[in-house]
Amino acid sequence: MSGVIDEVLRPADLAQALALLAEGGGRRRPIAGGTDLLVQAKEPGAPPRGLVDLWGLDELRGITAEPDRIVVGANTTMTEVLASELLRAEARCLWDGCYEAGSVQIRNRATLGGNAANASPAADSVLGLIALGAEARIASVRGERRLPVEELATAPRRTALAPDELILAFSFPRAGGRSAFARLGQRRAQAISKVSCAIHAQLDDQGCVQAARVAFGAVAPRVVRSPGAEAALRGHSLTDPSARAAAAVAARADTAPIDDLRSTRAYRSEMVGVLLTRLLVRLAGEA
Amino acid sequence: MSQDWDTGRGSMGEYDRFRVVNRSRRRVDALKLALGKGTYTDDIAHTIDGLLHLKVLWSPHAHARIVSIDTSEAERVPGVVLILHHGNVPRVPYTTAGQGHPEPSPYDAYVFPRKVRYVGDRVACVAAESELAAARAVAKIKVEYEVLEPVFDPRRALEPGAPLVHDEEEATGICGYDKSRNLVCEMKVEHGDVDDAFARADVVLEREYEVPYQAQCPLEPHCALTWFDEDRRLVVRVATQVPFHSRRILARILGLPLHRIRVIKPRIGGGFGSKQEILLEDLPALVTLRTGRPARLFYTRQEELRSARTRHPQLLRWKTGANRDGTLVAQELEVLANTGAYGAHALTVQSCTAGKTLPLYVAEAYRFLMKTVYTNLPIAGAFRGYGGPQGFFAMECHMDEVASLLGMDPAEFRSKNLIGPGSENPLAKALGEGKEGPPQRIRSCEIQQCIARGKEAIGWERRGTFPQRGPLRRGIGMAALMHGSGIPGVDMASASIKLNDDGSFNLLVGATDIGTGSDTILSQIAAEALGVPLEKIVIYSSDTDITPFDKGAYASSTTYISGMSVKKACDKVVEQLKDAAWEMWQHAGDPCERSSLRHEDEHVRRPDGKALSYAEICLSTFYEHDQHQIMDHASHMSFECPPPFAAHFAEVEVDTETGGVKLLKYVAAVDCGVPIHPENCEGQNEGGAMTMMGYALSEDFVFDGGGALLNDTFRHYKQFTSLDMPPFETILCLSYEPSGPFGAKSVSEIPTDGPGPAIANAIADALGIRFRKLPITPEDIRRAWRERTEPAASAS
Ligand SMILES: Cc1cc2nc3c(=O)[nH]c(=O)nc-3n(C[C@H](O)[C@H](O)[C@H](O)COP(=O)(O)OP(=O)(O)OC[C@H]3O[C@@H](n4cnc5c(N)ncnc54)[C@H](O)[C@@H]3O)c2cc1C
Repeated sequence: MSGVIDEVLRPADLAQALALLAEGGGRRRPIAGGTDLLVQAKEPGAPPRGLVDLWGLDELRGITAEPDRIVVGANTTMTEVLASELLRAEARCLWDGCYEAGSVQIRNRATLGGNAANASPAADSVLGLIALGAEARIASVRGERRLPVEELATAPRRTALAPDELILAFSFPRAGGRSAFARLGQRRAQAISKVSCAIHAQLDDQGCVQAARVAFGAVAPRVVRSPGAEAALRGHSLTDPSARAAAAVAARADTAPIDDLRSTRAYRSEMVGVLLTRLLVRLAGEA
Repeated sequence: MSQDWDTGRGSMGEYDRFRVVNRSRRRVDALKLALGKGTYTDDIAHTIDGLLHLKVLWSPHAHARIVSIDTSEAERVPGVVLILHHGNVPRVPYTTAGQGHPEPSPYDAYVFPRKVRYVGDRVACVAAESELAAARAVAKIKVEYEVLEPVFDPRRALEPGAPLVHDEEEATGICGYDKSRNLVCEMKVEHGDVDDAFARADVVLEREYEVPYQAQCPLEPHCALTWFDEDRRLVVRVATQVPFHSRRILARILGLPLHRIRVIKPRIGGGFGSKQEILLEDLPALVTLRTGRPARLFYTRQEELRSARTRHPQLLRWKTGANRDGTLVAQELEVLANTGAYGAHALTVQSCTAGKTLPLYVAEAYRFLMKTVYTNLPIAGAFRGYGGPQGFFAMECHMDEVASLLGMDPAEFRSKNLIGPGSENPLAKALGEGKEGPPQRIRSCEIQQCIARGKEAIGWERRGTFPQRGPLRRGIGMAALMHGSGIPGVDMASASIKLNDDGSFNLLVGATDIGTGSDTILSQIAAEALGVPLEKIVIYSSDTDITPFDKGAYASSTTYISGMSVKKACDKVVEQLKDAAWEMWQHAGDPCERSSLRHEDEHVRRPDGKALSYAEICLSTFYEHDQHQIMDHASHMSFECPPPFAAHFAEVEVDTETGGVKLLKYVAAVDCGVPIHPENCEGQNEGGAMTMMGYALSEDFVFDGGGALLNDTFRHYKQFTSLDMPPFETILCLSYEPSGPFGAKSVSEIPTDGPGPAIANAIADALGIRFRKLPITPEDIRRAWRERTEPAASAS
């Protein structure tokens, strides 16, 4: 028996939204684009619930460039990300992740806040945010806090958010560097990633990696970073074959894929190395 | 090859004179569909007062006896009106397959079985005031099952001691039906001295192939609305490909006189074979009969994937004997097919696996061995291609393998052995529709042209020249194909046409447009035959009270069989128009020679330039002189089944690091006779091929250990989308089929036969690795590539 949505609330502003969530005592869920929530509402055993509609909240929209940070509102849709020259230039791994996700129709509704709060291990925009070192700005009637995006999801569909908390925005440093994203799916649209990878690397004058952040999707219970791969790259040129190989090996050690409907553990594990190597080649400008 | 056998080439001149056929006209139903006018089955549901909504309780077990059903709690759910199950519905064995009569599929189904045979089998059905109430009640039905050991592997199903899927006495079937062995049907067909031919062949190659389940996935799920009309006749408005079979079968299982039932087919959102089935209308019909109230059942996508119909999975063994010079000597095909829990279309689909494939190449001897078995898995049935795609995957992969063994170019090897105009089909008699079939001899056949033009379009000469290094490898593959046009000696269609006083015509056809465009092409055929613009034809199709009979939309029969019935009816009306005009002139004291009259541009014309318009003729025959209605009807049945022919070509790029296959280009060169609506023919080719690209690369049924389908939503069942489609070129290679309307033969199924083998052959060309099982996934490719390139690493 599918879940029943018995209450849809349309707050006029953020304060009202937070108040409605607080009053709901865990019975009410925020809804943004609804592309995850409404699918899940049909699942057997989904509890009856009230919805607090965030779609109209302007406080959660907008892509702003501050001198040393970029702030992206939680309601920003993937389509809006794709329309942003700023993000394409300075947050390519996020932009590419949105480019590959869903379909036109889905991207028109799918928000970054929803993608992150849904806590899917395959969430395509989350990899880029993590690679960029983004933090989430979180609010409730009790106040505001900040959390690194990589700490937001704790397990599939589980987050560190309290039931009355909302993600307001994501912000990340304008640190320069290069970034990229790649994924493998069962087909070219409307397919959840089998494996995905995002990387952001800070290079010095010699083209050596000063710092790198590497994230993988669909190979662990949540989107994960690979500290091993990051360490293996540090201090090496992007074109250094042995650093690339070491990073690939380390990445496989840092991930724990499983067999499921979409793919196999063995294939995924192998692709972790392949995707990372390909992104390194891409960042080095060789392809 | 006899001289007097008409291969149609002499009739090509007619081609230049066509005015309405062979033109891509706007579809006659395009506007109302585009504007969303409520024309599909369910569109009117909200307008029906007192409608009851149905929900079905499906079996959670693959194999279990129902010990008891307790509906007491479910009945107490507010809004519940009726609960049906095997305890309160008569048990009539029948087949859900919508085919001709006598039915070639076994009578092994019941409205509600006492024993469930797969996860998704019917257990009970609730009718309630709302869908929600019905769903709530379904959840409250308590069923006690005695769980039985299931059988999932078709090989195991035949072994002694295997669980028996149909152990109840009522089930009956033909063609070797033996439920004590789970055997649904068996065929052994031989032509020539097979063993001797193999013994004489220079080389013999034998290989095994495997093809999976596939779901039809029409955009519009199965749905039906039923109600009593003012005369308390049962009206059934249903998304079906077979309204007349639906009426016949409903009458039987409902125990209702057939004339008390009217089946209406409105606009249909696709069927692909899944609606050649009396799948669900029996339930709302029963509810209406019991309650007197209108009833509605509408499948969810999940129900559609679990409990509708699928393509038969098969294991195929192909054996070929050939001589060093590239001549085929003998062909042998053995098929073990899985029909799932019930035997819908089991015999006929599997017989087509041989019937469509083997005769394509001339050999001295042929053998076909087939067994189809029950398992406790989803039910297979009709699916566009109808056994062809399975057989062509095996045969056309195999032909590449034989060519490579002989060191020959695969296209040249095929060309050398193909049948041509005048060839007899040696297997036609043995592979009839559940009985002996009429002999078949080819008239129109442009397969050599299809191959030549397809090769040019794909750039066949580049095959073998691609660099053999780097992670990306290219390859080109092909497949040669043929299909049929209707079931010879069985399929009948009829049409009636009458003249109106503005010179327009009402055309009534039993033919069932399910989104295929048949209303359009049948109108075109009528307009061409009558010499009027398309706009002057008002077509109405498939309503068992109003339109004449038609077998339904299947077996690639609509253009060829239904089209001919329309043409015949129109030809007769033309004669009546001429008679009437002659009589009018006669009456007016201005006589003329009857035989000199021509019909053209909505007029009957005399050689001296005088003419009477159809409107004038109609007004006169209605009101003035020799009053009568100009109208006629005609039926058509053909003992011939002219195959369309095709050659498909695929170019792929395989990423050896990820195992990903990118289709770079696809070419479908097809000889479908004269294309009545060229754009529709292209659409049929693109759509049919697209369906099967998913079959080749991304679609599969994944079951858990208990036989439950795991990927039962579009979230996990991955068909090709428009983004996955490669650049696609359809080449219409014109021929003229003398036995078809205006030279036409079928076009809709043949494109489904090609992508499996063409893509597999292209992958084999790219990698030097042969995949004999579909789908070919990145995981498979990667594993095979690693095994070949780093044997040591993969051993670990
Ligand atoms: C057909 C289809 C294809 C898809 N393809 C992809 C794909 O390729 N890649 C991919 O990553 N995803 C895909 N998705 C999943 C989905 O579209 C994304 O996860 C999307 O970003 C979710 O955003 P939304 O706004 O629709 O979220 P909603 O469904 O509105 O919400 C999702 C969750 O986030 C919570 N939430 C929403 N906003 C906030 C907020 N501001 N603060 C706190 N909690 C919040 C909701 O309560 C809910 O739990 C697909 C979905 C569908 C239906």
